[in-house]
Amino acid sequence: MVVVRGSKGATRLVGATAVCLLAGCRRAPSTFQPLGDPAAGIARLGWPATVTMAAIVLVVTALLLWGAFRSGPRDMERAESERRGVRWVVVGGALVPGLILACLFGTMLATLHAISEPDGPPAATIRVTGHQWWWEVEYVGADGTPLFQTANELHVPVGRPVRLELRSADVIHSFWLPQIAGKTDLIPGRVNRMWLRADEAGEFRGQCAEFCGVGHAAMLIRVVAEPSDEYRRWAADQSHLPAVDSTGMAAFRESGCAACHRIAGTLAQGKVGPDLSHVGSRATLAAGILPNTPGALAAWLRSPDSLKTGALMPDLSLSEPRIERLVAFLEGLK
Amino acid sequence: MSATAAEAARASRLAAIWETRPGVVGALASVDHKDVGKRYLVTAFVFLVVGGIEALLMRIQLAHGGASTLSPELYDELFTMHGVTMIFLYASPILSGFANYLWPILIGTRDMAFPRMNALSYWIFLFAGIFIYTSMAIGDMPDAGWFAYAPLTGKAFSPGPGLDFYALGLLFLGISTSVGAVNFIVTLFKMRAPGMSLNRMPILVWGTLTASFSIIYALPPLSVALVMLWFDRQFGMHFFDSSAGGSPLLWQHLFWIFGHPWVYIIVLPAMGMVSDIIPTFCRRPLVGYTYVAFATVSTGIIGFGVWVHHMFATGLPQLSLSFFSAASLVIAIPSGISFFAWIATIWYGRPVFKTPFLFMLGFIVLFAIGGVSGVMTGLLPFDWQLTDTYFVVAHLHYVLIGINVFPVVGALYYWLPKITGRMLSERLGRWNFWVMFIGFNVAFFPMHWLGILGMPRRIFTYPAGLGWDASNMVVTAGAFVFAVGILLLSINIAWSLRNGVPAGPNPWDAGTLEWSIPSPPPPYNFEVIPTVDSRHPLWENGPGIAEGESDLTEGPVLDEDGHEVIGTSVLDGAPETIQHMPGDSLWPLYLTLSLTLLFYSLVSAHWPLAVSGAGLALVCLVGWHWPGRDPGEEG
Repeated sequence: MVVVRGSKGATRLVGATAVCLLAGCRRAPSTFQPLGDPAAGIARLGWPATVTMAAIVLVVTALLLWGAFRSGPRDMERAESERRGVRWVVVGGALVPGLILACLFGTMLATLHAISEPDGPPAATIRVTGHQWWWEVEYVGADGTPLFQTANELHVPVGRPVRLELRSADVIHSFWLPQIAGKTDLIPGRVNRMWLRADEAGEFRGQCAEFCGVGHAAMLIRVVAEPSDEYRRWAADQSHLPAVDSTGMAAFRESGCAACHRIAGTLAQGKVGPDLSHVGSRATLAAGILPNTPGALAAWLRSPDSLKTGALMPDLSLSEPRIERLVAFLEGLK
Repeated sequence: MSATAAEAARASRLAAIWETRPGVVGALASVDHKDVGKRYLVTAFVFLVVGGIEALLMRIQLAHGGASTLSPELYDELFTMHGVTMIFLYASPILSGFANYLWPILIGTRDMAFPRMNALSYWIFLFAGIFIYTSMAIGDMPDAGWFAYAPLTGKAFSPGPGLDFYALGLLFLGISTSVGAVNFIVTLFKMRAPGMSLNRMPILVWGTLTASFSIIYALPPLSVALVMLWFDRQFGMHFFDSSAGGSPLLWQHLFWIFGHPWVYIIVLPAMGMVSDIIPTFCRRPLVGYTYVAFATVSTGIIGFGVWVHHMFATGLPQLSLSFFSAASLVIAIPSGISFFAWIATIWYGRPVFKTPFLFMLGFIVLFAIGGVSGVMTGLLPFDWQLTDTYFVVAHLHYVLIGINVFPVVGALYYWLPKITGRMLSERLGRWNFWVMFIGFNVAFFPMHWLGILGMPRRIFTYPAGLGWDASNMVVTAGAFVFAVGILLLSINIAWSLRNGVPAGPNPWDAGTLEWSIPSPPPPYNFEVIPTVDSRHPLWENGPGIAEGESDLTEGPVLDEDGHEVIGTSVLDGAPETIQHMPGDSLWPLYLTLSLTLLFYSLVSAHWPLAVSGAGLALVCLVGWHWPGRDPGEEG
């Protein structure tokens, strides 16, 4: 595996483009303002736990300061003060914390029970495979037959649970959508499962949460939650073979793109990079760090590594006319 | 008159026996626990500063979204080196420094049980640190985080030598830690002053004892994992390679079976120091001594049963995860016991607000915050949101800085006068405390919030406009204020070495044995081996807060036949034997140099040289144990 060492300008561009990309979701992706499950269930545990813990800190700090600065006589007899002190230790140090922890543990078990399974049959099963540094996404039927592939973007119907099967092609990654679901790791050699349900239409930002190498910060996932009919339309579009322009396809193959990328229904069946069958329909490029515009795509083809340090896509030294043709071709794949 | 003259003659006889020879060779050969302790303290402090500079560089990069001060490669190397440095080269060694210096004078003896092993453990620590930092010199630092999850650490994903330095460097350092742990355990069980039964030991001793046992059980899993990692990388084995039947999760289990007890290894001795310092400034013994001693030991034991809470998101079965969740909550109870023992001691004491005490008060608050955030991450589903975010970064820094650095700095203010013979400036000390305390909280408290707002850890940059910018700027500002606090500490120490008020034997009116001898202590520590009858021998006659009839002026002198100490029984500290101790020697240094050669040749895969290094090490071991006079030993 070649990890190309990168230049500097990258980071600035990543930062700047991500701003406009994410202008859609202005709020921080707060785990305490969940817009779906299991995040909502977790927040119902997280909020009271946080408040209880904050209260504990305040109470013990007050006790400490009171004890340190209290006025009044401090010349109690030694044995008596030891006896009372030990009462503090037993009650304050063991009994009260034991009670609080038991309550928390009970609440935790209840939460675990509530969120371990979705409350209805899943609307879709999605296989997500982590790669350095992008997400492979494959929708499969109830019996596990592959339906269609995409990358770095999930579409889900609002209010319906979906199932995720998580795998890794290289190192450990972690799938995380703060507002909708906690983390589950993608581990080579294992299949992990999780479910999620978005309760509001919109776009949700997620990000790889387990350090996975130099591109870790640039491994974003986007989840689009949409009403059921829109979702079905999208899924149908993704299932159709794309209309492929033959001149563009020739440029695609001559440039070597087909070695790594797949376009459904053509001879391009590479499995190293993201599936490009409907790349024109996606909102972002390069795992969420670039908007999917002709300009950004051209810049990416010109020099992937300068936009995303460590990107495994090589710089193919394409000529400008070739880049122009490829951009037109790829943006046409909808 | 004649009594005084006899005492002076006795002192000079003892000094002649115990003194280290002057000059460079003498210094290199010294096995005096006080020399070893000081070297540990200074070296670990240097690593604290280096790791701190790495952290400041990262904070500059993260001060605002989309910054490009550091390349992602360099950022990844810095956070890895920061973690490795702080956890392995600062936090544990600084406590070894205190323990090495203080143990013999706390328990009333003249040296550690194995003085030469003690010197060996320092030399290996030093050279392992240099070895790990060689990766920086050659421009290829490890870059997979301090817990270095497989398979990212495999040759396929990390081809450079950085991770070989990590694997072999930590393996090398492990020798030092293990040797030190064995030494502490034997010293504690066999070398206490007559009459110092187990229930009369300072809590610091309990803390270091528990930590030492934990080290003996926790380090082998790490060493095994490191050897496997190096085999995978060097010889193409497949321990962590799932495509060939290996398991990446195996690394995580082995690492955290070591890693979580390690957290307690680097906090329990510090908590012990707190339990010993607070009574001095409250003018009364610790409330609930027995409870705190038991809490210390049980924390060490339960600490072995919680490692999977680092792996809650790995998709292991929920039933087993729930057990580890429960254990992670249960471990809060012994901490609660120590916590309320401190509060009760303060409550029923007469507090004197000197600088060391301020650091103890600050520590208690940070301990509470770090403790409850630990409970939050112990709640399994909640951890699915919190793990690998800045919330965890906040939590671990409240634990490691709050429970290690704050007590350590307080302990420096408390015990440096014993070590150097001069007081630190009280005025500068107060400034030091407040700058550190405020800077720390400004730097680390907002990180909790950042994690809850969805900011993952270990990202070299983040887009502006996500709601993370302002908090990150505050964090960076706080980090620099905290750094100023460390700078003030350094200035205060440097100032006191020249201008500090002479401390005298007992500047704090403390009750334990180390304050009965001059500051700095003579080479032989105690002119007369004391006989102990209570936990606070120095408080027996004074303020009337301790009862007992300890004898600090009459007892065995042992000034005739070389390095001699009293060996006592494990439980009661009843005198059993006169132990003859080895003197100064260069063999520990020679052995370390041979091992250093061995490890450098392993990292560069230079096998003939590696064989020579191993051969030389063997020769050194033979020489070390050969009867007769040793190089560097006095006549």
